[in-house]
Amino acid sequence: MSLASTRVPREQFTGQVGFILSAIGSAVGLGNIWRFPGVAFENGGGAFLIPYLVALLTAGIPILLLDYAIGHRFRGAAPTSLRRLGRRFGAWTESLGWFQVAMAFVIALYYTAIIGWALSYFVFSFDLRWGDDPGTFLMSDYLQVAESEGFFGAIVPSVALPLAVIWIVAIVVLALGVQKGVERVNVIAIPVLAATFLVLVVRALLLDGAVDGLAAFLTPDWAALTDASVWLAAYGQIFFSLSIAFGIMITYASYRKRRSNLSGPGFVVAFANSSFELLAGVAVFSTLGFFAFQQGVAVGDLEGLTGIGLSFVTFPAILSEMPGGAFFGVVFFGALTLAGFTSLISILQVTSAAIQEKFHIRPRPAAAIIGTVSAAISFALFSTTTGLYVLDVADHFTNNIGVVGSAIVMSVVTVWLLRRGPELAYHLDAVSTLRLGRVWLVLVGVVVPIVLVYMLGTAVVAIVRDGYGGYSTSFVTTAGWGAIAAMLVGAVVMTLVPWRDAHEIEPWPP
Amino acid sequence: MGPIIMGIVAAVVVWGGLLASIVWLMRRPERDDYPPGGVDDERDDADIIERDT
Repeated sequence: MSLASTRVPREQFTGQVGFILSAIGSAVGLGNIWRFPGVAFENGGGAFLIPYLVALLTAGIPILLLDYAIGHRFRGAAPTSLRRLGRRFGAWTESLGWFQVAMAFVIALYYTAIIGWALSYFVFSFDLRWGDDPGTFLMSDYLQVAESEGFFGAIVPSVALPLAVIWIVAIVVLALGVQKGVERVNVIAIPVLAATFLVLVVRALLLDGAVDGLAAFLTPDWAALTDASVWLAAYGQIFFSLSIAFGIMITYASYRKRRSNLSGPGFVVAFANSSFELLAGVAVFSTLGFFAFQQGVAVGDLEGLTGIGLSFVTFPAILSEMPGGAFFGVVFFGALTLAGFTSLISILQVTSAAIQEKFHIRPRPAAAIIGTVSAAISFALFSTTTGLYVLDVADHFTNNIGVVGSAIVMSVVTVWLLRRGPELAYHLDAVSTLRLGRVWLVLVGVVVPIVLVYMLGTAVVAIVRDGYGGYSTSFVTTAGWGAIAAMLVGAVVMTLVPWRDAHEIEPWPP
Repeated sequence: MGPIIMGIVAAVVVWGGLLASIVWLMRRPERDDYPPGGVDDERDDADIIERDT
């Protein structure tokens, strides 16, 4: 039996709402809750809104629509779509697609671990198990972090168990396919997440000191607008928050039928993502205001306002002092787990779809293969006493070097080298109700590369000059640059593997 | 400009932007003048045999 006769139709979202909710589920993740509030506070407070919105409109939405256009027009995961985009240079552009898949693969390895921590803290919240010293509880009791960085420390059962739960559920969702798995999870989870956020906001606003926290969050520092680093932070926040440039939105857009609106849903997804971020900012800073009030200090004097420190140290400390802290903790860590899980599913779908298409296999075997391999590596690296160190470095390099570099190459190759920008602009306008025309092309072809090259250059210079996180050079070289090198090698190797069914399609509209 | 006004501005711009984009999409969910073609599922080279999911 030939491949053509056994070929099954490409999976699809059931419609616009399913696609939008799934894309929102991908965009709204851990960064919305633990990154945006602190970044805004440290970069001008209320004034940060201006560079943030400029970044959203000039880079975030344009790259989002670039991903949509490539995936929707060329009907495949990142390697497939980019190979078709590249025509006679298809092998080169396919390798960019595999690099994006490799990044998604790596991110999934540690993202799962963090969601496992959130799940653990969801359970811990019921009896506020971290006691009166959440920092020690996190590092010594729960993660049992080794004294120095390294690889392959001893397995920590309390970390491994929730990690196993997350992997099992994720593999099941992945195996169920796009409609019954990805879409169904998001259609349920996103309304629940929105309701959870609202509960958090209302509860936080009723705390003593909430007004002071909000004032600290929103008081504008207009002088910050003259600082280039503030604008860089805004572009970085938008860029890392929208799940762009590492294959997710290319893959999701490829699951839409051909006659589908693209730009309208893109704006809904982008503004929904920002809306969740703003809600998180209100909830987090109202809560921090309460903590500062309790401590008799200013909000600005608090430590641990972003990332893991905010979620797993500062917040538990606040919950211990808050009336009804257990309930608030359950809701907060429940939201964190849910937001992370819907993003994780989209990250895993990138790898799954790419494998399905390259080797012509169905979702279930793809989920089994990807899930088993990923889970094994994830356990070996991140359920151990050294997992936190590897996670920190791998995350920094993958995002700041890998994803930014991928976006630069994708926009430059598409617009300047292959000259396919006008075709993609035409595609977007031909199927969308909101036509963006040449404005989008200029943003993607000029503004985005300039901003991202500056971002990448700044990140590389900082790493070369200062190292990263106080880790040894050998560790940063291995876990950071080594991870980037491994992704590049993986991309080349996967490109060299022959396709089982490398059929071409006729792009529509012609 | 104080924090209260900035809060209102942020809410109006971000949540207003979300509301506006949703209303826009609800009023025109799809184009009614698509170019000819594009009615097949997505592959030009094989009929649909079965649903995969």
